[in-house]
Amino acid sequence: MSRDTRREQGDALPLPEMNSPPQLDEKILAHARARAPQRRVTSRPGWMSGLAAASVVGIAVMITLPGQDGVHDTLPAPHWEARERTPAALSQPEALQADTLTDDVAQDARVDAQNGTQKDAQKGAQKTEGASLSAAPPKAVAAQSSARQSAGGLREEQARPDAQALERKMQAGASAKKIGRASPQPALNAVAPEAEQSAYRTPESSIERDQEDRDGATHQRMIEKGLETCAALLRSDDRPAAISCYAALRKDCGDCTLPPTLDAALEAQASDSVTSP
Amino acid sequence: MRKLRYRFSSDEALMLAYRDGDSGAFECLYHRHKDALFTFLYRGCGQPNVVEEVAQETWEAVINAASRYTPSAKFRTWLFQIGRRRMADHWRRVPQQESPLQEAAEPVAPATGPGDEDYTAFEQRVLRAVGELPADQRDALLLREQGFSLADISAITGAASETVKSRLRYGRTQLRAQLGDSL
Repeated sequence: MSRDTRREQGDALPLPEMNSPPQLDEKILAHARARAPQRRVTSRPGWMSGLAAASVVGIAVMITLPGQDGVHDTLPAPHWEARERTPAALSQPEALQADTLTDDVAQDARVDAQNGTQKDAQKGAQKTEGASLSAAPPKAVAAQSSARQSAGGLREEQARPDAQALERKMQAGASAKKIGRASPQPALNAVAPEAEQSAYRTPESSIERDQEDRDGATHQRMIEKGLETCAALLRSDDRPAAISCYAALRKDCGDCTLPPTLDAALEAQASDSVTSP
Repeated sequence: MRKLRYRFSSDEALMLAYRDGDSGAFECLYHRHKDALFTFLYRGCGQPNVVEEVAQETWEAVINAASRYTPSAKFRTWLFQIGRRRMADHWRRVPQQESPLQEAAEPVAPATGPGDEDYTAFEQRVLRAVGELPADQRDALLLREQGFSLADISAITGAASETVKSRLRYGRTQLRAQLGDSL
């Protein structure tokens, strides 16, 4: 309600209105200007823009020079993807999968060096364990993951000599060609670099060893089968056919150290002395 | 453009702007309230030289408190609270006369009613009558004349709303008794 309205309604008193004198205004405003709090500085110092520009350039250089990482060329994609992403940056299931993968690799290397042919069974068990962990609820997974991480260092320490021995063996063989290309790279996460490198190299050597094992088993089976055929012909009193069968077997398996005659081969098979390369 | 922005800003926003170093904001704030405060102080004391001194002290107190200002209450309420307190401090310092409004101009015409010619004289008569009221009733009436609500007067004087209401009622009754039908 304005004063005039209230006065019209008889509510306001007829009192004099006063204006502040100009000299008082000047005095007070001058005092206000003199005592005004200092304006807050909003301009940034020059070095801040320079620092920002340098940071951008640095990041750009880091992004545009990815080719120095040799491990990426030799490793399967999931391995280096898991390496590049730090555990903190991963979600729990992803972190667990990466962890499981690394553990599998290290475990494979150790089992390879120690048990040889039991590797497949161990690997299967490992993968089953990894799969069960992947399917576990996030809280249980996180707990297992942290436990595995703490135990991981110990296992890597154990796996390191085995892996190094295996690596030396592989480098001596023909399969070392590819492995030799792998160059050391600084560790990006908590895994020890040496164990990590050997672990990452192990899968290829394992694959080649598998291939070699499979080749040897194939030869063995082929020899056994051929000898059985020849023996069957011999038992059916068809000695010429049995001899020609054995000759064909020797011809097919040029690398095999088969005895010169069928009889000698059958004797050797009986004494389990037939070998494959 | 800047003055236009000030014009549409609240008192509290202007005071905060002044706190942040914008002296133009204070200028706008001062022009908004200077006459109302001066009038209030003049009606309460009737001596222009004293009013100037008290007004200056009041605004200086506002300026000095700007750096720690937080808008916990209406700026206008805060300003008049300071003004009222400074006036009381002044009368405490200076030996008070019987009534400060005794020096106000004498009415030149009989108090039968305000005509166009003698309106100023009538205003002075009312002013003297207000000055004869007890201080609490006078302040409540003068603040009400400045457009403050009961709650605001209560905040300025530190009295309860009901107390303020009764002070206003007693004050008006006393004025009517002094001034008769002229009110």
